[in-house]
Amino acid sequence: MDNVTIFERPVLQRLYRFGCTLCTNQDDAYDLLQYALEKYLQHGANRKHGSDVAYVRTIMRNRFIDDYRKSNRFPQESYDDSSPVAIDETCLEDVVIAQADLEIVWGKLDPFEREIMYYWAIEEMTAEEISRQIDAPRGTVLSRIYRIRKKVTSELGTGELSGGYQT
Amino acid sequence: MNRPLKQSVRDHIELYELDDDQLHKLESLGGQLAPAPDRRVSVYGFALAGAVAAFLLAFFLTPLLVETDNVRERIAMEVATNHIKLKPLEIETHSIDGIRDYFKKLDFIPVSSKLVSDSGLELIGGRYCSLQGITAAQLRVRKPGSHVIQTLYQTEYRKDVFDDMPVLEEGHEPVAIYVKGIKVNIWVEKGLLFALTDLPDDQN
Repeated sequence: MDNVTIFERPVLQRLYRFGCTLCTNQDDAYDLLQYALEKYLQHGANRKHGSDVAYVRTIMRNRFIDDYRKSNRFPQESYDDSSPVAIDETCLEDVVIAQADLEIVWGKLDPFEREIMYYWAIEEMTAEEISRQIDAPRGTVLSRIYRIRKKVTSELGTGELSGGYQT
Repeated sequence: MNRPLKQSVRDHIELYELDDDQLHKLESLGGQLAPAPDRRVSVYGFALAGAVAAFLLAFFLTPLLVETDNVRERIAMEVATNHIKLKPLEIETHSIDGIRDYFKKLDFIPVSSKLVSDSGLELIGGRYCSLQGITAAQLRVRKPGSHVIQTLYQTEYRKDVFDDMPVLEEGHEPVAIYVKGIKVNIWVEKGLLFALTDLPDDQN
């Protein structure tokens, strides 16, 4: 993929949405994308292998983690990678939710969980593909998926939200 | 209406869009910065390192000085952007009781604002939204008989997110920020953060 392709508008929009998934704040997402594109031009445009979009996403993710670790807003929750998780990404497929409820639940997910949701819903990735993208064991991804489902369904189950989920 | 989670997530994420101005800036980036040659140490490398160091210094020091202003500008930008989008109302009502009946999933109780009441604005309705990642009520108001709709945000006032804001009860005046041709007034009242769009003064 050459520079012309990475700077095409649909690709820029796609990368910006990934930034918004991590940051929630649109200005921060824009800054993150601009930083990543500059890095890409300086170091990544001559790469011969791999997807440029995935490369830029990785720069964005690494920068996001650095920034949030410094500002102490980085989620400190631990994920038990070794625990047996008898689920996969399809366990999210049967959940249904009203759009208004999703807006509320979205704000309660941490950046890592929103990132998983992005790859699952927008990029249509499997847990295996997500684990390669974020350079984490598949077990970690499955743990996060399990936690996302638990969060969503517990929010729905509190009766505070109008929606429900099917099993 | 309930829909599959995947569809709801897609619809939510796809609401985020770069505007034309932002797209132009990013596109021009591709033309301005030529790819650097690989594995080549030159004076440019040192210059770049110096520039990066200066940038990092500015990046980490400047926020300490301008954090409050940045927060206000970010709030104004988010409010103005969503005001322009004017997404459909989820509830139409002229009363604060109607608003309270609908917005039961918030971490706060929507209230009437003295400032809004004194301006003679009437409620039209509202929808769930968020401000800087905090769940909010996005209300629409207007002057009776007017076609000019204004957007009024209400959300829990969290100092860790919003920093110091003018508090009406302490005699402060709302802060006014101009973005995208829209004036956004921001203040705290009754423990809630309010943001109200308005036309710039020259158009009132």
